[in-house]
Amino acid sequence: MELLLMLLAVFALAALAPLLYSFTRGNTGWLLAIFPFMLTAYLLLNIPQTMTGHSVQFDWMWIHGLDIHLAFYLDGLSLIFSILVTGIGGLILLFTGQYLGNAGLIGRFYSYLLLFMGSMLGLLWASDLITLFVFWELTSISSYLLIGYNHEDEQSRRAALQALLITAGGGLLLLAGFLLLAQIGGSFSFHILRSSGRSIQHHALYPLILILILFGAFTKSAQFPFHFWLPNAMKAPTPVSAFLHSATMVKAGIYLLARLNPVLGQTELWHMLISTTGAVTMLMGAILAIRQVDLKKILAYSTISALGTLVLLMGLDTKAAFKAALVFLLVHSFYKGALFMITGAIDHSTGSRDIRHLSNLKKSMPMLSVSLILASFSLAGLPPLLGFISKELVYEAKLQAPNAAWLITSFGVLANMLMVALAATIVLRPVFSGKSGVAVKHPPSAFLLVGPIILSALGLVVGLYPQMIAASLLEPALIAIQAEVTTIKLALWHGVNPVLLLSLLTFLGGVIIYILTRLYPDHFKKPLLSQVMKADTMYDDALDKFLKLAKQITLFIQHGNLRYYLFVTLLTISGLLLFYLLTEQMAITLPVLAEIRVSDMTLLVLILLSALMMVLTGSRILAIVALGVIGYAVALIFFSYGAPDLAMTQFSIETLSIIVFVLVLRKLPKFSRLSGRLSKTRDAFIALLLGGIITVISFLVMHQQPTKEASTFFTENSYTAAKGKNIVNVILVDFRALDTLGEITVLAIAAIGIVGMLKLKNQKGTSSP
Amino acid sequence: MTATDFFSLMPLIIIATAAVIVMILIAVKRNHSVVAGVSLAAFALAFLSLFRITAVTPHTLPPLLIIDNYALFYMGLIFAASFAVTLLSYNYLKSYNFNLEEYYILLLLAALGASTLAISQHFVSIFLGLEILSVSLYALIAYVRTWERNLEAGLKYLILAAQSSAFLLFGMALVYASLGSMNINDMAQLLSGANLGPLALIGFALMIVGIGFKLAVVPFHLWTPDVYHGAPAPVTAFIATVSKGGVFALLLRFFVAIDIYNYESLVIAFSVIAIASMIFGNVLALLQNNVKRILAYSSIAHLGYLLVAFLSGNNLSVDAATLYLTAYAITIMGAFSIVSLLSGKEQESDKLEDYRGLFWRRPVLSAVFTAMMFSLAGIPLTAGFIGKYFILSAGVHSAKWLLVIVLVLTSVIGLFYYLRIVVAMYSAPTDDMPSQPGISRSVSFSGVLVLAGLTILLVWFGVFPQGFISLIQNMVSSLQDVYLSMIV
Repeated sequence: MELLLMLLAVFALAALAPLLYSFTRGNTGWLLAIFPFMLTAYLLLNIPQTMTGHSVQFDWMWIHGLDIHLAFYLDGLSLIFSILVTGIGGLILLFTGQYLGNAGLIGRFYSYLLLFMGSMLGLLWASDLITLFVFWELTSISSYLLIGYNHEDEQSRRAALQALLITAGGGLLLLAGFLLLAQIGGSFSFHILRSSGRSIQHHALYPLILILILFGAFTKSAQFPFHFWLPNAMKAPTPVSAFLHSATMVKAGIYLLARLNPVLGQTELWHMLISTTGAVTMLMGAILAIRQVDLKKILAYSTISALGTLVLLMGLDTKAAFKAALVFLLVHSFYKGALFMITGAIDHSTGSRDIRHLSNLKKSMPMLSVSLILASFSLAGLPPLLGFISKELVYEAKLQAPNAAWLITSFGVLANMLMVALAATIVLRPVFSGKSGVAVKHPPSAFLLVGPIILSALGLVVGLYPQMIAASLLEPALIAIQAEVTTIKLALWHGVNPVLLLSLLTFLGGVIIYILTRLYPDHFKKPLLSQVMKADTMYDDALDKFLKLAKQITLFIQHGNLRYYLFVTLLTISGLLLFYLLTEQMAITLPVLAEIRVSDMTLLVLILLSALMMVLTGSRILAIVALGVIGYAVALIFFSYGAPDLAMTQFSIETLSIIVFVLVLRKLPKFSRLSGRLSKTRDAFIALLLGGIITVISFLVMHQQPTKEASTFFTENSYTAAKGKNIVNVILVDFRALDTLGEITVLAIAAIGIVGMLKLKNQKGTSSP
Repeated sequence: MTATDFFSLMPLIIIATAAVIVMILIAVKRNHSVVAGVSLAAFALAFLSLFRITAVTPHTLPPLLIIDNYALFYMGLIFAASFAVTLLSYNYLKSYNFNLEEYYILLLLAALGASTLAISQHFVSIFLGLEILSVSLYALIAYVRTWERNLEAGLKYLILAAQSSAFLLFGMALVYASLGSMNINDMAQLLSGANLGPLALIGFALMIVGIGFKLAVVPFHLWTPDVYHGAPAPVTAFIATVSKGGVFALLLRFFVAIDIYNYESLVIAFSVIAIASMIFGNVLALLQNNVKRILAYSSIAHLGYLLVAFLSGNNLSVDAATLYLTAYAITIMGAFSIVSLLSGKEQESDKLEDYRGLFWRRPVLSAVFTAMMFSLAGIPLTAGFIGKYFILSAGVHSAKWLLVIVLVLTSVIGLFYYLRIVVAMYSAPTDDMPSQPGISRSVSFSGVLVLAGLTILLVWFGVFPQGFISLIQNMVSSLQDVYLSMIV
């Protein structure tokens, strides 16, 4: 219940934020930040409970019968993620207040940020697939709103739409995967699915389920080849990038993989798909990052690389890998959140994010420089920061990888070398170079500094005393994934071992790469493997081509010509009927011509000739006459087969319609031949085809035994039921008594209608004399 | 006929009587407000009468009609939608100065036709209902005679509908020739899983053509964009909800009763139609720059989704289809309400351009429209999501993989054009924008009533679907029991 109340409180706060803003203005940021900090405190207080393996739960049957619950729980795994969301969220709110100032519709911005925070917490606390999915999509929507916040900017709008299409599209595939999973697992609940993990993995649908779910996870966590939306999403204001697109939302995919690992993990397919994708993304992100000059773009690509590392670790699927992933998750959120906020602060103070123009920050922004250095050391994985410990753990996990350990490790070393070079790039010149760069307009204020300093300091403090997170945060999370109690020992110094050697190698390699980038800067700016790596342009191309194709189809199918519509419909019907005629077993006997009576034959010939004349004639009057002849001839056929009443009806209707036709004729434009030879041939073809098919069907009908006739009912029942000997009288007076009443009513109603119309005529007469 | 017979037909009698009353009113003195009021009262009365009738259901009027809970539910949907359409129409037509009163006769009659479809269990009444509906629609679509596009739409609909009716009738004749009955239950008993003869098969195929036309599924969909675009917005809303709802009710009743799932060739035909509708509907909607046309194509896709539910053929399929249809009706009614409320005299606000930056001028309307688009796209916490969820479950339960996969993939495409509308609304307004008279007009009380009602329903359905689901399951179970008793 507490969980639900807290979620509702976040959403309520989101709804009230614009109102609050209109009162408190510039103070809104820190006022709003109080609540997330309170939440963080609540979560921290829950640590003892999760350490014993218990979890806070809430369960409400949402839809009966379908076993859909709105269910939340808080265990070690969701706890560690939620602390990041609320903690960093609070810092971001503090930061936003200063960063955006009082420009525009800030109230809405706050409310989107809180909306996102609520959605993300819901996603993390969900203990049910459907609940998770609902919040999953909500995070996509709030991310869309935040990226597109600068709605006047065409680029922002495009990026927002792109991000939403990719993540919400992946979300739909995820839903399909969830439904399948629940179908074979028997429930939407994680607890129940967990216990039936093995049987799910042996099911024939397991590969499909896994692939669908991976689509969801990979699109959300910006894995290759869906990575391109993330750098574009950096069009959003920097607090958004720091919060959503680095520290929290993009980790949702990782969270999902960790959460579902007990259900879907420990298989060859899991291992192969996830670790390959992760490894490729890790290296590619790092390579692309080193080629950027915009500080924010650098961070975006290095985030992709980090997400790749996390996915890779999920794919390795060993205890060491999960341990490393959890530590790396924390470290990355700390230093990346700090770096983004620092970027924002620099941008705010100098108006530039280009590392070629920034210099001598140590003078102009000393505090910020310190935190920049600390965060970058963590990024580079240097001791004594937490980044170092996490890098060691990651190397250890990679070395112990079940398959292709050396390949994965060398990928990792290369990516980390690039990270070292990156750290050097963002620190050395901007902070220490004495050259004059962009001028500092105003030094960053306290609120801009709080976030980065706290986060980068955390990297240092936790690095020095790593054991403080081991038992409280990491162990419960690991229990949640692996379902077995493990103790975790974290330390800076492990003695001389292969991992330490790799770290040294990484550092040296990184320095060399950095020197190379300084010596040959142009070489690193050339497009590299542009066709493969630029999935962004591929997205554009694909979207473009798809839209073009759609246009062609539209023009082809829907050009608005009624005749063409008829043609398509008739052709389809012919195809359908032909298909059935050809596939069904049936016997068709042709009628013997000699059996046809002379009178019928004459009528048939008359009908045929009239039909031909109607089609070929150039005069409307002639066509109508021919049509009339056909109608009368059909009526005569009815007559000759003993249905005079039907014939009479046909005669009168035929007469009436010809009269109407002739009346309308006056109003029609001059007759002209509009269709060319080709369209006439086409029309003739479809007419003959469909006519032929209907003829064959008519032959089929002749096989049919006549079914019981209505007349038998009347002969049987007219005396017994209605006590009348004259059947026709009985039918009219008894069996169809209501029909007669109905007919009279119709006449009366028609009369009323006519009165209305007559009055209309009078009205017109008076209004226009 | 007994008193119960009359009693159970009460809603239809109310609607038919109202049509006559309106005619008499016109003959005496024309007054737009009075006529609209009578129509509204009739729909409301008919709707309320449904609750009384639950006491006698299921009640059969052999051989033509059956009034069961299933029929009551669909009639409820039809009357509620017609009520909303009447309110919208009153608003919409006010600004015109030609004879408006006949419009309401046609509306009442069309609703009567659609309800007849919902309660029919015999070819004769089915055809009668379908024609009452169609003939009224011909005139409704072309009602604003002064626009060229309106006339064009009416003419196209007339010719294509007449053609499809001819095929439907021929199909019915063939089925009758083959089976010797026109009553659905008799047919179901005669068939009960036995092999269809070639004649009956062809007859059913031709009936699919006729029904497919009314539902506007590919390849019988060609009229849809032109008619949706050309018809006055309230009429378009009527076609999208009442007309399609009535025909879909019939489709379910008829094909579930004869247990179509035994006849593979018919299932294949429907599957092809469903897949083609989902793909073409969504792809063709991508490039439209007119909101009504986008919604027209999207309606084709949504009918494809509905067919997936129907084709699943398990104990979820009728529930899922009805749920989805209800959710869709609420949503599309909401969308067209907004189009219609924004439209001024002689000028429909239906170009995408008209919606650019709408949020900055009409924030509430835009928010509602956004909710409707999200619902159409099947995003959680809207009715559309619950509906889509049910359809997916139904498909997954029956292992209709191809259909499910096409549904999911095409839904992703669908996301694109719904969001396009949303993006347009939230983008910055430009100064050189043509100002539509309708956009700046304040929304009348009746418009607010309709929109507020629909929005509440949409979100209520999306967030607390339990009540709706139970209601629908209770109501449509009458149809399901028949089917379940057959498969057991």
